[in-house]
Amino acid sequence: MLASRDLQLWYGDFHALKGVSMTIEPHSITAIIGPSGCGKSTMLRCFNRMNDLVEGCRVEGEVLFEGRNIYGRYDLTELRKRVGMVFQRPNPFPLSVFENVAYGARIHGLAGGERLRESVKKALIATQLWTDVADRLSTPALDLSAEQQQRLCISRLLAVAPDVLLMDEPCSALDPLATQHIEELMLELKKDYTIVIVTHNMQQAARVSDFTGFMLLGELVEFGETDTLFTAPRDRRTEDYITGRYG
Amino acid sequence: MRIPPRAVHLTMLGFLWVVTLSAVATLAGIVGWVLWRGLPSVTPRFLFSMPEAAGAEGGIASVILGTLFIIISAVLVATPLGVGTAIYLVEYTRESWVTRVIRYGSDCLAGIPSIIFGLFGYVFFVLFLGFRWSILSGALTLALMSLPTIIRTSEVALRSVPQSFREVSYALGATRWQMVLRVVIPGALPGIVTGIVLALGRSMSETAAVIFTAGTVLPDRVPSSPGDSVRTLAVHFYILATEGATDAQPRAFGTAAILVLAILVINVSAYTLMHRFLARYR
Repeated sequence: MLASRDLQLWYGDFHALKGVSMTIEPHSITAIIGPSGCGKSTMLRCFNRMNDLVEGCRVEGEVLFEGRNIYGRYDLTELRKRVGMVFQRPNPFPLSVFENVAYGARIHGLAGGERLRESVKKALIATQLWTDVADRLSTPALDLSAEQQQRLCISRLLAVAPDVLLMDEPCSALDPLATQHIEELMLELKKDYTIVIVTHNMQQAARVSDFTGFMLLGELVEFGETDTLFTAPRDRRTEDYITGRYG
Repeated sequence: MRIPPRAVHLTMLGFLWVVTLSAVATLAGIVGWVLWRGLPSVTPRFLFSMPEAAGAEGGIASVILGTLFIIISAVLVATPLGVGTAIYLVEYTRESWVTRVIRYGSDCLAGIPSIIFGLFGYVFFVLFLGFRWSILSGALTLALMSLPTIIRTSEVALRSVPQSFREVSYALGATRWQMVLRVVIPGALPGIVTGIVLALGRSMSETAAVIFTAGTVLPDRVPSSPGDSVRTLAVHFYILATEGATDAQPRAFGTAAILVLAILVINVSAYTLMHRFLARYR
């Protein structure tokens, strides 16, 4: 589905990714873990080329999406439509609940009128937010709780009909109960989407993911099935990190 | 000997109170005085009839309309130029010598005395382009004068839109223009509108630049084309107060009162509009 091949990235003089190669399987959840500053968010942002927005950022190597290198000639709006992103802090637009979800659909001209309402409803049902907000679609999104806001942001993304969901520490601004709910949602979404999640929370990675990559200082130290990585890590540094002797 | 901090605190508190009060009192005093002297002459007849006897008799209907035409045309010209420049500076280019030149140029424009704008407008619009003394010449000159205000306030407003909104918008596959149109401009709108209103108020109270470009002829009918020469409220007041006979004084103050009230109304309505807008999104 998605794969990086010897990916190198610099922010100015800072070498942030050092030859990272990983493959993301369809309909799976892949977690990228590692201490702060290890490059895991940078890695995630290579998959939809969000690093392009950072001044002084330079990339070498390849990221393949369905076999095509997205760092070659590639329509970025098309890429980001198919590889969507959920951010660390819930960041709904200061618009109504409805307009937030409709935003992406409107951009891509996916629907209008009744079809637009249907797609908004579908996206809200998919994140189990519909029952909470059905009767207040026109209220400001910022009136929702943090968890609801994050669900709303995921709905906003789903309404664009992506194939891949990139999640950049989606639960770090939420309380434990809300975190649990979002994790359950991720397991549900896995059936229809391919998910890559960056988290500093190892328990979270162990709970939800099928594959895990451990990054340190810009390198991908170890990548494999989550169960194996957490029970029988091959690399000493991975073992140190997951047993809490690191970071 | 050390002065007790509490005494310093109280002294400073008193001092700041006095300073603030005198600032507010000055404003209230000027506005109050103009209204007190001017409002008695403001009658429906004064507002809705044409001037007679060089303004000493009759009303100021043609002056009010002339002022409206000129400032509205000025803002209609300046807004797309100013907001467009600001959008270019903030969204479409990174900081470089080009942006610095544009910003420096616009700041210099803001520092030029209005009479120089008047002179330029006179030479360029009135004579060279042959627009004569007209609403058109006056409006174009005022538009140039308003540009720096609109550019600067719009720029600040656009920059105040959180970067995360831009990121989300891109991450959803929006193009730059879709992002600007649907996320950045709505977020910056209150600030942009404030800039436009500021420009409106300044244009309304401008005299020197307008005398040079729109003329001082007192029309005795409603201006009907952009080529008509008009006299604005501020200019009318200036001429009545300096050249008019003593019996024109009440009308001069009446004009000043209307000018002050108009600016007050513009500012207050913009303020409430902005608040309503902000309250929607909080």
